[in-house]
Amino acid sequence: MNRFTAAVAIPVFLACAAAANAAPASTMLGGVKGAVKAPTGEPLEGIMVQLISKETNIRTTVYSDRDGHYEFPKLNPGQYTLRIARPREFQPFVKENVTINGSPSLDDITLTRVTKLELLPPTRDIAAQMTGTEWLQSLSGTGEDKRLLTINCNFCHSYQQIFRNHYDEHGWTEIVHRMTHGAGSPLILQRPAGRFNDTLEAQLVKWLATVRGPDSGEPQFVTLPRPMGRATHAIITEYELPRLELATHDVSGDAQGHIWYSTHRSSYVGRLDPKTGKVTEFHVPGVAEGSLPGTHWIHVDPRGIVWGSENWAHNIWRLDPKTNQFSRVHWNVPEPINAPMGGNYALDPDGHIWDVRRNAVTSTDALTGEILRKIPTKKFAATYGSAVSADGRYFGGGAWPRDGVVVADVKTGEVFEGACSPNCGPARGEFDPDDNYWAGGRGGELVEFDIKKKQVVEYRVPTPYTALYTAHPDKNGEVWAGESHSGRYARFNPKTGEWVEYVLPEPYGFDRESWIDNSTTPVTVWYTDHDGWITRIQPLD
Amino acid sequence: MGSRLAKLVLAGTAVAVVVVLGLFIGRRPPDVAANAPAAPVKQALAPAPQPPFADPYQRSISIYNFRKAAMSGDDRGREIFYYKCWFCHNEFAKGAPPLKGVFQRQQLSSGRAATVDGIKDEIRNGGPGMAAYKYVLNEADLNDLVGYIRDGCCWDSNSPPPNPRYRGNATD
Repeated sequence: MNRFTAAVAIPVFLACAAAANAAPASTMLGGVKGAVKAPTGEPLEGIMVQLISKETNIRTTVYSDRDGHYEFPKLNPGQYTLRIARPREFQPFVKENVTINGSPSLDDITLTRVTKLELLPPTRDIAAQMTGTEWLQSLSGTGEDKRLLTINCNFCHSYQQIFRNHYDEHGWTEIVHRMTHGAGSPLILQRPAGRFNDTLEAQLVKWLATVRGPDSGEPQFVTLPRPMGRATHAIITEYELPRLELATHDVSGDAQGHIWYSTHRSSYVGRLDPKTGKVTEFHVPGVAEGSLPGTHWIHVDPRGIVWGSENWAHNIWRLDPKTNQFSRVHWNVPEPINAPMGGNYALDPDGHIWDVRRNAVTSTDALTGEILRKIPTKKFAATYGSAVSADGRYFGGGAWPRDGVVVADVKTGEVFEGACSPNCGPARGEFDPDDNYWAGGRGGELVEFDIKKKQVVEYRVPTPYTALYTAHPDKNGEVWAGESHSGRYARFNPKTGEWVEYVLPEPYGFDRESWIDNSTTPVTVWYTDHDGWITRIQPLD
Repeated sequence: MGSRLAKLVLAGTAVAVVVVLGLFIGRRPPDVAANAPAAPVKQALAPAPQPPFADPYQRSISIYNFRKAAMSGDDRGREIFYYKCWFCHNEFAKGAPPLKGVFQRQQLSSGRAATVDGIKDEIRNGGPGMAAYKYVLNEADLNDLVGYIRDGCCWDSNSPPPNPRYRGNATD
């Protein structure tokens, strides 16, 4: 490089780098703006500034950038509550009755730390804001103790739901036994064999009774870094649902822009209108006596028909929203009622349902339950997830609780059963535009089955103690996945290897199923947190 | 020598206590206990109630404190019931008795009285098959929980409770 080239190239490069790091001038913004700073006047980056509509209770959250500036999208005029979501190391900030009308600037927000020390005091309000990752980083214990918990307890609830408790050893023994021997999340059927052997179960109990025993006290809290740079370029919108304790599970969008959600342990499903926040509930007709109601998988097909799987009552239902009529086919499985029947299915372009059960990739007539085709598997008897590529050629599924994926070429009848590393646990996922299958690994990694090379590739999420459940490639080939237990939502670019982790306003990110709206640019990501609300993520770039 | 003897006696006593306690704890109670129940523990050992949180909008704080539905009362009791009781005491599971109508029973299967004090005592101290909740539920929690068991029990999976934060009118 000669001097002239360097003189031009270096400033241009620096200018481009600065532009890439600065908040994008997005057409999605243009609402009220302001700044967040410390009492010293220093700008604070990565603070989640939130406006809650008094009329709808819809929550809109944006992040402060490295200059401390934040900017909202244009919101409907009205009264709002302005607050800092998950202030964590700062004193809470809540300002009621803020009038939004147009796009004026708001007063600067000054945040004061709760302590001058690095670790946070264990008040209940702070403990309640901790992610599972922060709990695990803060509690004493060996790596093996924590590994036992993260491998065996990441499926059904947040880690906060464990660590908010104190029990003696007898209590932890009873609870861990119930949890690890119960079938599915309702735990109704108890099985003699648990998720792991008696010795390891006793080891986990011993650790829990030590760190969360009657006299163990509360830990000083270690905190994860706040988001920076590109991870602050997003708008997060959260929607309330009409009922509590729904254990919301899947979301799926329809052609009218509505978001459908399933509820795991109740007989209601719902349809959210994102423009108003209004939800229309649909009551799934009663199930057989002795069966727990609840819908696991929900999917809107191209004709607008909504499909759901009743994991405990063992049915597939179908709803025509034009007539509000449900119809149902009983799913013939050998599992007893109230034990999971498989839960996750995929519809192909012909309207047939695909899954892997009993050593076969299986296609079933969705209207009759008649089995249409079986392609035998050799290594994995079943998959937890089910997906079909856009053209219907490939089936893919994560084999959790086994460590691998099953991908079948429906056209040739070839089946590929790729293994991944111990405890990677691929669960649900989807195909990318190049027909590579991606699954969310319970062990905290994205698991890709490269369709050209016919091999498994793993990509570990940067934040420790994270578990993934599902993975969704978008139209550009970027892959999205909710980070259970670390309160973040991950975006991964396989071409560059770049991870962006959007920190969420609540410390869970307990994503059961996501849906990507590819009709927008950038894409829009929807997920439902298992604790009962629906979240929309709008990246600004 | 004396010190050694004292250590031996102490160790022997400890072993005896463990054996006796083990035998006692390991026993499954009959449906109607022959023995009178232990005297109720009046105070839970869990942390006392704390002042309402400074930011009522952080959902995780409401979740942590079982206050999504209400700050106190039967609605809060129902929330505690769902997380602490339902997963064993429901209409589908076998083993733990359902709690609907428990106040109409003569006594609990442990032999404790089917009264507010008896049920609180059962929850605090647990027993075979059940954890002792005295380290996690305080008196306010127990009051809400037992009030719900008495007046509103039990959970209906066909009618989950309303979300007070929801502003739209859900339609069916």
